[in-house]
Amino acid sequence: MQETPLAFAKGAVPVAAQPLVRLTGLSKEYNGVPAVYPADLSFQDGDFLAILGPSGCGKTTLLRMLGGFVAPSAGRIEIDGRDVTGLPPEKRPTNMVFQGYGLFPHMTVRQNIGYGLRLQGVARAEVDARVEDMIRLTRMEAFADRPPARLSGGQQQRVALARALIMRPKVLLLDEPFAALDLKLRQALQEELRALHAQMGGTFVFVTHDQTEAMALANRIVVMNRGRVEQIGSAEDIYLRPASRFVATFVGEANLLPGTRAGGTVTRPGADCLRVVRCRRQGRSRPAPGTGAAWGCGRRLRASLHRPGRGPHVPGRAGAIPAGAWRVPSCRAFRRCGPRSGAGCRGRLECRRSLGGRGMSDIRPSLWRDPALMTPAAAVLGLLFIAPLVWFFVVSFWEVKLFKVVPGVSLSNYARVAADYLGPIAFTAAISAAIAVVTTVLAFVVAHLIWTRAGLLGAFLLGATLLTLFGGYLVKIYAWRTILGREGIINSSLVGLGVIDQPIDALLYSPTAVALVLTSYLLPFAILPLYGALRAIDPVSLEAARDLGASPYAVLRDGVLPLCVPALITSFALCFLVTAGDYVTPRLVGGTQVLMMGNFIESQFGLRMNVPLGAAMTFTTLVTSTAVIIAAWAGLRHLLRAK
Amino acid sequence: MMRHFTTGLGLIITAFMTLPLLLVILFSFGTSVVMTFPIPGFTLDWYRALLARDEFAGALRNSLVITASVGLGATAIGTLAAMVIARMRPRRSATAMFLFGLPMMMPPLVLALAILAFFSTIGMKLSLATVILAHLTFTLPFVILIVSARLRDLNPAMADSARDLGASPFTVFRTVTFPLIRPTLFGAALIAMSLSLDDFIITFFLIGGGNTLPTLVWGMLRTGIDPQVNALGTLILLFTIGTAAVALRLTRFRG
Repeated sequence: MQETPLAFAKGAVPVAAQPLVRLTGLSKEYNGVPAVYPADLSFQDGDFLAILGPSGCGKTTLLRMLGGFVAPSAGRIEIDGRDVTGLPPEKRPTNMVFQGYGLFPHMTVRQNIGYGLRLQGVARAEVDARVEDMIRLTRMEAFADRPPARLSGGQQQRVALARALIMRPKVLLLDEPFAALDLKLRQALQEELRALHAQMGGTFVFVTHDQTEAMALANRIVVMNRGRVEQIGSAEDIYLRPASRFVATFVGEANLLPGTRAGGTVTRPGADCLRVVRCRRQGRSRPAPGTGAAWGCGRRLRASLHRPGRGPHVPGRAGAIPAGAWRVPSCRAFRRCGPRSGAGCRGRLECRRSLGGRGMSDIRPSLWRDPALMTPAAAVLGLLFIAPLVWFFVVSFWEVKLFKVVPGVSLSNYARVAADYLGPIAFTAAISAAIAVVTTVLAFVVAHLIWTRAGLLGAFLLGATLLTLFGGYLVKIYAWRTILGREGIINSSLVGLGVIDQPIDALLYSPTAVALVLTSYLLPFAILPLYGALRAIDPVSLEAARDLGASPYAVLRDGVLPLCVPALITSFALCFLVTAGDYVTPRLVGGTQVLMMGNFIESQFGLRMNVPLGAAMTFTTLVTSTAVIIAAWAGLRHLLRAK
Repeated sequence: MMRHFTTGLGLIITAFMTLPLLLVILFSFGTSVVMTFPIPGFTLDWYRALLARDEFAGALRNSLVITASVGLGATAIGTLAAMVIARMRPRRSATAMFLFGLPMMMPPLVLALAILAFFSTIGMKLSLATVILAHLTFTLPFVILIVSARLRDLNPAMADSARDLGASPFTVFRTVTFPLIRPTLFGAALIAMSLSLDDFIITFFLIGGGNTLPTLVWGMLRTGIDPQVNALGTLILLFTIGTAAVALRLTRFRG
């Protein structure tokens, strides 16, 4: 064996046996968790290959590695003798029909089918001719100028097929091609696909979890389970001669009897009252040589009963046990289980489910997924937001002496804030919290109405919200001045109607006026996040709650509100921060009566010109605001969890 | 009963939110200097007076320059970032969104003062350019949010099949992704523009000299009641609400 000349080893492979596709040790891991164990697989030109397995078994990952959408962790892919392992999808001689099709919605059927050829720079006349051919072949003549959105599922499937086939791929890959179709259509399209294969030749590889589909279409079937290839063979092979317990149970019904194997028979342990003579499946017996733990398997088991010391109960003739009667649901000890047995095995399966699986692409970051694209945005964030804030923070430790700013590290500004501004900070926090709470509650009422009233009312409220959202900050404040002012609408109308003699000054220039104006201004900003959160709630779960006897109020309290906590906090935080940092509203409608932190901070940049002190005030206010918001969050969560 | 009560409450809240704006529009056409009901008559005089003001043309021009630059800049930069963020795992994209969203949560005064202090330290002279740069910070998160949501909606099999059919990554963007997100980009740009156009505080601190429409309003507000403000306010409203309405329609915004 060892002296076999190298030349012979090479020459021994006849040209005809050169496989079209050869996978060597191909495997895929996600973060150290294997999705596909090293697999060796090769198939010939003209094969119609099915990769069959339950969901999460790694079959789609295998297919996507073939297409170039998933980069293998190890191993090699050769197509037609060429190593394509490192090639991106566009450079591979494969084309794929995706699950969900991936048709281009902005192109007609004709444009979809011709897309690949146009990219190759094929002459227009030839593109048109080949597209016509494909349209005729897939019988899409009547729909050729429609966009995909106006096609039925089966028609979309045909377009996806035509779009891939027109490229004349060496290997056509199909990912669960019929999964989204109903039974009748599936059968019809399976028939069409088989006819296409017979007519056009070529190599088709498709992934399916449907055993009958695999059996009906493929001449070779690869059965996968938990990332491993369990068996490769014809439909007959895997059905009649399953290589493992998994294959036996996954492909067709099977009776399983645990026992020990000796020669051609499997003996049931324990009482020794049952001896499985042969495992049978549709008349062909599977010999079970060797000894050890084993399973007897078959649709109809031929078994004979033995009583200890008395010989066969029914000598010479085996009775048939109907299918299902002896099905053993689970048992951990099965043959060649090895390190995959038991809990470890199960744990790995669960891990694989969370890997992302279908539709995942991990091809090298291409142009528009390259993290470098974030550079401009990161630069804006870093240079125009983070750097200024950090710098501002540094400045807050500087001092102003004799009208000159002296850099250094001094806490004198913070000391001054603590000494002189605790009152305004508390007042600002209190009025901001009050405004934020009232605004959030009112906003929830409106958001809930928009959400529950689908008709005219909801549309009207949403429209009003969206329009006022962009309705101008200063203009809104100004409008309130004209309403509440001494010569404003309320006063002059009341005087005009003779209700009062003198205009009421107190309408404007009070904390109430500031609160009123800010609430009105902030409402649309608070409504939107709440409406977004409400829309994300699954209405069925609420109907279920009603069905189980919950009152509308209970549904709101136990279902809706807890789900809205993040949005409620967002609204609260937004209103709080805007109010705490505002100086325009207090100035315009609060006059000299209402001085909030915004006014004090702003004055350090205007009249008083003490930037370090202003910075210290800013950060004190920001820290206070953050503390209030976190406290509100904790409080709200506690409030809604207690119920 | 409860149903009517909440409906009524909702309508009152909405009126509270929208009425001031409606009054501004209404009185911009009224003849009386003092706002009062009943309105004595209707006129376009306030608009004529406004257009005749010296500062108006300059303010309008500055506003247009800033708004257009911010719209273009924020959309370009934000779209690039959204392309990366849309492809991130949920955890990571949430973190990225939080970071990029911070300026949106910051009070405009803080943003304005921090940038002002920073610019004066590095010796950057205040101009329209400084306003545009500062506006990028708080308009970017909106663009990123809108565009990444749209990109996430796109079926990944579409880009995959384009690659499969021979398109290079750039060709996929040119022939598939961009045509599909074009309306969204347009909408995101308009939203960035209306936010920029409406900003007063940041503009006020960073413009150095000159006016924009909001700072012009501010100047007019300090001279007492002047119905020209109604007219200017109506024009700004028309601008912001107009662009926003088109934008919302284009992005098919539904909350």
